[in-house]
Amino acid sequence: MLKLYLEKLLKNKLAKIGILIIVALILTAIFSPLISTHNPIEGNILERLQPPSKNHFLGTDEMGRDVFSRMVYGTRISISIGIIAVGISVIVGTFLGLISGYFGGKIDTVIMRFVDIMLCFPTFFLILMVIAFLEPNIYNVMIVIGLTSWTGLARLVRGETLSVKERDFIIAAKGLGLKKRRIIFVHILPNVIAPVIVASILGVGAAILTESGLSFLGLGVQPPTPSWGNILTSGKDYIHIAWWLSLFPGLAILVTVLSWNLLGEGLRDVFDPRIN
Amino acid sequence: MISYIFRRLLLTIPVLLGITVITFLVMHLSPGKPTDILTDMNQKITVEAKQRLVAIYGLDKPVYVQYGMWIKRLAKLDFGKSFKDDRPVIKKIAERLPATLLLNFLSIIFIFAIAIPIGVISSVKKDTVFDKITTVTVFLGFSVPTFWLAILLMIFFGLHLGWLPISGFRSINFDELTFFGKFTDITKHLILPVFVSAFTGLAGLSRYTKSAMLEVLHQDYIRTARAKGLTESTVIFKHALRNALIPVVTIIGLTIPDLIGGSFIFETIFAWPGMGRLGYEAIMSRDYPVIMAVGTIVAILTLFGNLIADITYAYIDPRIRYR
Amino acid sequence: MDKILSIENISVEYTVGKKIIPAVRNVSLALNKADSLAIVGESGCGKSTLGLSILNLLPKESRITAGKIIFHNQDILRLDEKELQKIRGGKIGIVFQDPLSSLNPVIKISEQIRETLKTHHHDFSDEKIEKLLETVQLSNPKIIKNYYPHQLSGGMRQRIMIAIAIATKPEILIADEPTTALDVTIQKEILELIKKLIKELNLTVIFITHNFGIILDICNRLAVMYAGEIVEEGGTSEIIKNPRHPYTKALLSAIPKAGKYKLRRFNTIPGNVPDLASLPPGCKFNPRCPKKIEKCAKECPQLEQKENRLLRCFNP
Repeated sequence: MLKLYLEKLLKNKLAKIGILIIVALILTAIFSPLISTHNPIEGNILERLQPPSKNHFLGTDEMGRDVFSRMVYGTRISISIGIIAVGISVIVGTFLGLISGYFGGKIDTVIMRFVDIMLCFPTFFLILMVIAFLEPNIYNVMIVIGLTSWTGLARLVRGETLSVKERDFIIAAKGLGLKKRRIIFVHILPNVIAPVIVASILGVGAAILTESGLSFLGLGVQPPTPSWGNILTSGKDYIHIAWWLSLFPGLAILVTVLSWNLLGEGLRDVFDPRIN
Repeated sequence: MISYIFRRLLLTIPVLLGITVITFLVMHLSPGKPTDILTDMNQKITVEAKQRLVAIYGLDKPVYVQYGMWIKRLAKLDFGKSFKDDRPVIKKIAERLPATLLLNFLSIIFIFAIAIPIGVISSVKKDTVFDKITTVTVFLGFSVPTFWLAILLMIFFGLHLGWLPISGFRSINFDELTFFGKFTDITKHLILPVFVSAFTGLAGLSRYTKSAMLEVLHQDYIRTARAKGLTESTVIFKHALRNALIPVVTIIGLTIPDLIGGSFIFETIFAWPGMGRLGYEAIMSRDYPVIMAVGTIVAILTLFGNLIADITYAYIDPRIRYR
Repeated sequence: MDKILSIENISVEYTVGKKIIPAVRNVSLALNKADSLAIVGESGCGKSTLGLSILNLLPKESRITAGKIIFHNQDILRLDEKELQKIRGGKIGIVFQDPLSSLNPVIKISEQIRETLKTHHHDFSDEKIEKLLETVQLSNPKIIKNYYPHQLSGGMRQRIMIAIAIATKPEILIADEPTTALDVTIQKEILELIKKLIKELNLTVIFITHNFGIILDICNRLAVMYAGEIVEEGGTSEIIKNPRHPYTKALLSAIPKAGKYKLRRFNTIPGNVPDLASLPPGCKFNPRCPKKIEKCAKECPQLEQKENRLLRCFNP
């Protein structure tokens, strides 16, 4: 089964490009110290705002730091925020969705009302508020993005659970007197996992975008730690003299988010029974 | 229909309360006091002034009491006074709201006017060059950081070509312009912000329209319409599109939180004198009354958008209207 | 006699994923004026596909690979869009199986009838629409015309479909399992209505069904299809009295009493409906045939004239 899905996924050219880029990014994140050519934190102020050259592939910033090296290290921030934030949202969303769908009744009403409220909330406003009030650092950013992005997923899982719940094997499992916990996690969960995987892959892209937006407003990862978002922010003040400071980090965000989206959409097609 | 609208209206009240409760809790449970920032910013503020604030907002009382006080004042449409400059919050909002409304309203119009035809065409001409180009554009639309797009456009059209102003709502010499001059001036200032804020929504909605259309085009009643000898354009626009729009209009409601969320970023980029920037500034300076007001207004706008979506939905789908 | 429609060597294929499935293979049929022809077979035998290909209404995943549909000396399959639209709904009307999904849920009944009339330049006044609703025996036409499909029952919706199909007084009516989705009592009413309309409007009819019981007093001619091919064709009464093809015999013995509108699936025939993607060599019916001889699994029998009918069988 898994092999079949994988074969189908690899037949999709766009998804394959997505996977290649993601693998390359993860390798870049792991081997940042080997790939970077300069120290990302300390620069030579005499070499500030230099355009791309042989020595500085992507030029230097306003402090004379090598933009290429900063971006290589920035990969770590983007990838880890994307994956961990989505990890949090998947755990919360799947759990609440399963409970809501399986038990129904009051639990369901409470959870779904809360989801309705959250869906009417401009999440970005909430995230801004929380990060500003706590303290902008990488952990808070991950946690807050994770805790504000689970609602759609919970709704999705709930819907799937409702339909799986009525299937014969679940009714049989209940009849056998299996524990609820076992029915939910061993019998229902595997049957709702496919849309969760698709949504979470797409979610990584969205989380990276949110993080970069926060960084842009000065509420993301704080300098001097390099992140794509904060390189862009400092670049904004120099757009008329140093275009490379704005162009490259944005391009990196675009390509990264794009590759997760390509993979997510590819997976959606693989799992879609109408296409099979 | 009237009773339907009324019922929907009643349903929005708990959601609205819920949103204000969450905003309130987040604000008050986070460490630090607003009065700290006040004294940090302005050393001259006296101890008495600080105590006066504490008394008015009940900052020393439990959170739920404070929330009760806030709701009571809200019932009288009193959002309080800004901690920052002591002006009534309602006035500050009134100054900023029109700019935000104008920007978002235009964006929504653009999103719908452009995305729906694109979605329809790419569903009918599936797998053609047009469809492939739009698919790629849609992917880019989902993936591009909007603030970066804004910056690139500012560099290109504003600085490089010099065609468009890159910030603000109107030019410095606005008051000296003729009526027509004022109109073009505002339009010029609107082009970049509206384009940027509509871009992501455009991608989402055209994709959504396309898949809704593809679904509908498979239905039996489309075959019936063709069997009647109707022209292909009647089949597509009269029979298919009306049905495909049913799921699409619910997206209006969901687009609004995203649009407004985006406002916080690009109102800052374009120095747009709207509520997003007001909210951002209020958050950065912990101006509680302003934050609460912005949160409430934003929630009302979202719910209003949802309501319109629901009414349109009922208008298009007789199965809902006659229930 | 006047030949008004002839189907000549039609073959249709479906593409599912990378598989190509032959749904109709080399079928020829001819209709004279005022004929009524029944096409009978199990589900999946290609009878509905054949019906849809007459109006070139097949879904996108399918393709007519060969053949002609000659209607008044024109090949329908080679007409341009405008000419084709004149025939669809104008000269040839069609009624589909499922009235619940065949009407547009967001458009009023009156408008769904009106647009057919308007397209084919007939009188499209309210009075005309009400008259049509009366013709299909719907009471309160003045009220019903303002309804949406979901406000009507299945039987009423099928009457609307029939009203649309006959609105322009077409020469040919194709009825694709028009009663299958309905309750037994409603089925009978709808059949009576169709019978009455055939007579009143002097329609030529193609009646597609899996149920022998309902065609007896409607259709004078009969074609039995199996696995995309015609296996037996001739006069209805001749074939019913004396079925020659083993498949026709099996079909007939599967209904208890002919003429008693009883809905019954032909699951009493041994074996499964054939998988069109992998048909057996030789006669397509041979794996299920009780009278199979050695030749049947090796060679394909041809459709040949045998006495008063066409027959595709080595051992009738």
